[in-house]
Amino acid sequence: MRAIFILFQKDLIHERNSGELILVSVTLCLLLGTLTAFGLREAVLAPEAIDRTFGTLVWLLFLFSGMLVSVRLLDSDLRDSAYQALLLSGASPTQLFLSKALFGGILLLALHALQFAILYIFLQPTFSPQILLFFLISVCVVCCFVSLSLLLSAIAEHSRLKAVLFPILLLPVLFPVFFGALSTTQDLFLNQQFDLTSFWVEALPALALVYLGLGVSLFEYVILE
Amino acid sequence: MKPRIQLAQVSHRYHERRVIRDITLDIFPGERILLAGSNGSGKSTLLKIAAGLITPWKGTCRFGRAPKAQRPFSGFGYLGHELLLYRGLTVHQNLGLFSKLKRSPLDLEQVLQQWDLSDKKHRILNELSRGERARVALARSFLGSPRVLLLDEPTAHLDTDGVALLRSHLAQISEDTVVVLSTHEHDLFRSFSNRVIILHKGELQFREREDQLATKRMFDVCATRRNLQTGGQEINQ
Repeated sequence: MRAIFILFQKDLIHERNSGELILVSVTLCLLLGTLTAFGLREAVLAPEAIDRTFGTLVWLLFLFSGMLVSVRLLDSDLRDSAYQALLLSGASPTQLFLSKALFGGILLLALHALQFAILYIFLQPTFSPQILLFFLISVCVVCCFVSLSLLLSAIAEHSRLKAVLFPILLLPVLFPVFFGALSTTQDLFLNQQFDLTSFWVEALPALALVYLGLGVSLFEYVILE
Repeated sequence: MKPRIQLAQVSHRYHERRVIRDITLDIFPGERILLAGSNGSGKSTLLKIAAGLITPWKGTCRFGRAPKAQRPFSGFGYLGHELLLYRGLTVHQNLGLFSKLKRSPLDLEQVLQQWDLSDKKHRILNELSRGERARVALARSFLGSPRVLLLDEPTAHLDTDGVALLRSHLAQISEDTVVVLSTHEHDLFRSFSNRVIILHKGELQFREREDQLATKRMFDVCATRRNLQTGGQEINQ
């Protein structure tokens, strides 16, 4: 735990110094959210149509901005092979992975909340958002997303086609998670239902655990030559 | 005495090019090894394998009495061609990070002073010159009194003061520490080393312990080979 905290703190300090990841992601998030919201307002959609598409829009925006942010999560560690010094100093690949997942997860959740707020303010859907339950769904999705993207961005790092390879590898594996997120969010927003026994409500936390476990066990083999 | 690092029939290749061939080597506590060889002879790869940063294609590399190879070997001091530092952190933050991970008892201010970095401690690494960054990387590799110190061309990018600092730090390290130093500047470290290893095209060509005469002869062979190679010829012994 101590090493994870030290590594997490390192990421925060690195961001405070450089601001490269937060600056890019917040700008991107604001741009995407505002443009989508304005575009839909201009299309003068009926309130009913806005309600129906709101959940999909939130997750689509998350997917776009999340991919652009998560592909860069390991950049500072891979540049000059700095992560090797961490490993030689006693940190394990698992600790490195968990600290990165924690940092990336918090960043993605914050961006997701920001995008949700922008869309909610501009589009003004008629349903009540049930923030707490939506937050729980988001935590599961972000956990899956960060675990997979850390693993796959490290794999894609060695390719000259990193920018293309990363989404090609990520999207097919992420498909069930994305589908589950859409299904549960639509149920929550439109039908105001959150059935604990429904398939996706049970599957999302299970997928989060599976992907996190995969990340923890495979990360070592991905970053070491 | 048990060896601290054991390389057994280690071979390594990058794609189709074989860079290390069947190297078997035991490195004992207290050995100060000068690793010599021309460019592309496999020195850097051998050091990376010894640090556990690369899994050899064939053979094994073990550290101490560990039942199986655990990689990379924590507690090693390693300096490679890459900095292994965070460019977005300051000098103080970089050294503080590795010092905390290594649980180094040394005061960070003292370390900065020892490496003449006190006036640069709040500067982001990206703002430093290549030579200054090299000095920070050296300070990083000496942190926490490592039991094994692997230095790959440590004098590259260093100015005269930097080289003097490096030599004084090497002179102060514990007698038990293993030091493997890969360099082309043999004269600078000849008195420091008690064993010499020469690599040629990935093969161990020469190893000698505390035999200054043989070492001297070996350096002469090295110099002759280098001269002949630059003249377009190559010796195959």
